[in-house]
Amino acid sequence: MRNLFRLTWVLIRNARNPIASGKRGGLKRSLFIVLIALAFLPLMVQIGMLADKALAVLGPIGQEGMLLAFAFSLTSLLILTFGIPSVLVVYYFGRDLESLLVLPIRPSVLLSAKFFTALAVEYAAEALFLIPVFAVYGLHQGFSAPLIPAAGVIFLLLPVIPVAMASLLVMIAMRFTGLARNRDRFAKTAGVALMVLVLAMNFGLQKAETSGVDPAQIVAVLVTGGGIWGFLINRLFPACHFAVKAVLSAGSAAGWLNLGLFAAASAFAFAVLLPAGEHLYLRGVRGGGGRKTGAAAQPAPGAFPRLKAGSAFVAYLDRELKILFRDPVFFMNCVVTNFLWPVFTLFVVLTGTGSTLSRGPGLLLGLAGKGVLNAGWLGLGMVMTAMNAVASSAISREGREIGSVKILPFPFRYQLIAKAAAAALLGAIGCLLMLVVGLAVFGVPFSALPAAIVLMPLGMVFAACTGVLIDLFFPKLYWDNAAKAVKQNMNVLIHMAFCAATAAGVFWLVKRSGAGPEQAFLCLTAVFLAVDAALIRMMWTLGAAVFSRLEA
Amino acid sequence: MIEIEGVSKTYNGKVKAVDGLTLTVAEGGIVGFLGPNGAGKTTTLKMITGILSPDAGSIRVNGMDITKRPVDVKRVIGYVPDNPDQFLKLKGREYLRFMADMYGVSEADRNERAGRLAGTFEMTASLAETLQSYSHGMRQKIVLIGALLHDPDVFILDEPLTGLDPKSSFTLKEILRERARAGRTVFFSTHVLDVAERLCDRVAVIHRGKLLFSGTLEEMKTRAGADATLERMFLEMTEDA
Repeated sequence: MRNLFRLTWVLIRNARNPIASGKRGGLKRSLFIVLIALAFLPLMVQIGMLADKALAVLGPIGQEGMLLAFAFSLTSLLILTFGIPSVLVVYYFGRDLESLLVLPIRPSVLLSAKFFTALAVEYAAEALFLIPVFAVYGLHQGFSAPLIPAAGVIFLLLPVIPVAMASLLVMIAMRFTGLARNRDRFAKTAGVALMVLVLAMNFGLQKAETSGVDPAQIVAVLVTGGGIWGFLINRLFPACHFAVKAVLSAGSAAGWLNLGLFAAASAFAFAVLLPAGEHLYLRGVRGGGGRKTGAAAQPAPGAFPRLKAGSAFVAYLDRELKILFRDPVFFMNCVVTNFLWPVFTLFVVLTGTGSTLSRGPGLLLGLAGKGVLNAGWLGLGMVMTAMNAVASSAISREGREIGSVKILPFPFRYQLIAKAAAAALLGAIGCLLMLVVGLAVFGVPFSALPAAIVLMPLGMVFAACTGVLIDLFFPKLYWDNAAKAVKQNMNVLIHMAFCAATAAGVFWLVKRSGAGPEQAFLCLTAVFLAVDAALIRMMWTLGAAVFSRLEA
Repeated sequence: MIEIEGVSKTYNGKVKAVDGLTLTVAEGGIVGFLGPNGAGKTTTLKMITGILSPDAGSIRVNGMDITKRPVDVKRVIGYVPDNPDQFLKLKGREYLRFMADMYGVSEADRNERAGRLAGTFEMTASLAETLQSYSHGMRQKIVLIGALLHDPDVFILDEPLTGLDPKSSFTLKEILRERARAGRTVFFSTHVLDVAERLCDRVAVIHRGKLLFSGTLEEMKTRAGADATLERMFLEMTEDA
């Protein structure tokens, strides 16, 4: 048992966010937790408000249990969904297997420690959904002394069954199929899937909140068990009924009995996992039959592929883009972001939130024929290119291996231009999508297109060059995980703020001057052609000199 | 030919990695660069290739100063770093194409050389995989192929035999000998003294950033006593210094 505690503790510490390491890890960790909590607070408030509305309807008819059943089952389903990627990381992609397999511990201890580590990760997601429901339920029914321990035990035990299910599913998939053998591809797919899931949930919540919840509708949804989804999750997690009864009858003999039954069901799920895991997981990772899950399978011998000749600039740009698309961290932060902002904009219109944007159609029609619209195009190009963090992490992404590009007989000035071009190219995707959203939803007149086609690229080039220069002067080359080069790189934040401020400043100046569209267009084009040319010149000369001195 | 004159390099203003190093590596021979860990070997090689800038002194490759004509110097160098963990997200063939494009190798030459070297190092079947999925030895081999694609005049290798299987190790030694016979410059660092003894025409010994010896093995033996092994001579030199 002592081995199990120690190993679980080590695995959890090892899996924690790298931001919390180092001498000032405690302070950083606390700040990080506070920031995360603040970020999720609005979602928790929304869930609490929905639960409050539901209880206001269900309370008088004595059907509070319906809300609890729905909340427990839905939380279990979410943990099962979110649990699959985290289980994969903990069991298979943790890079600790070789060290763990040689330890003189029983297989059940190793499996249990892995299971508890995966479980620990899920408590945060569970808290997000269940704490608001428990809090609202307590406010409605009164926080009785037996309710609090019952709620605490249920909170601790609820993820056991879904995590056990996720573990089994992952073990079967990893043992018998080639699924998820490509770690990068899996991480990217899982990242996008989770993002879509979170967006869909947020969409549902926003829609429910802003459209005003009809009490009759809530009763109808809960009485029918939440439709097809409710039916599925109730069947998938039948043990949740014990948890519901334990809360409803908290303090009574029936309450304790149901709590015991829920604990027994959770223990049973864990007990089933252990022998199954020994067979599926440990044999799988040790290579005892089935498909290999560790090293890449030996490819069949083949003919030498022809290598076509191309320009050095295109080759360098291609390499930049390939790395951005293939590395899961860079992909999520630098590529997906370009598609995300247009989706967010649509999202605000479709859910009807936001006082101005939600007016959607025709919103920008009034700006037609005004100079500020042209300032908007320029600003959009800047902001979209800065948001993707490609330019502002261009040098940092090379990390300690920066020598591998410094050795190339490709002048540093061209390398910097290629890096800026990658940022502008990806920024162009976001701009193009925003333009489509603008034309289709916000009523942007087609007559504004020629100005957009000229001014947006000028904004993109401005953001791409300034981003590369900022990162060149203050590169973050020492990192042990790619997230530090992008997500934990202050250059990205500084560059975003700089570009947003510049865009806002230009917008304000044009608005204040009262310039017409032609005047604004000509003036902005002339000024930013000169600024962009100066920035390119700066990369060409000073930038190349700084690059040549970079060492890691 | 590589000419290093009075080169020094200090890290963070404190750690003197290379201290007034003067060394000439002539073409037509294999020169081994020996020294204990932290002696300044990798720093020296990185300065020759333009990855690091020297604080003082000058480095010329085929008569061209690395600080004045960096791109021209890099064009004639083939460099194999001590750590082959680079360009890991590229597939083997993409990496080779990238290197060939960077060095401006013609389509006919790149296909002939890459095809031949990939076959020699038994890498043809792995070219469709990303470098990330390669073992250390496979990464070492693909970097070697990439460094040879432009048929460099000057071949610089940092601990090239680490991680290579015996057959690949033998092949690499043959390639080094062939290049030396063809009048090219071959300069490599190693810890494996046996390899240096059997492979090198000349050796240079560096310790704490200073050059202790540069010459043929015979000259070294004359200095240390006729029956001394390279290992013995090396240990005596680095202990005395």
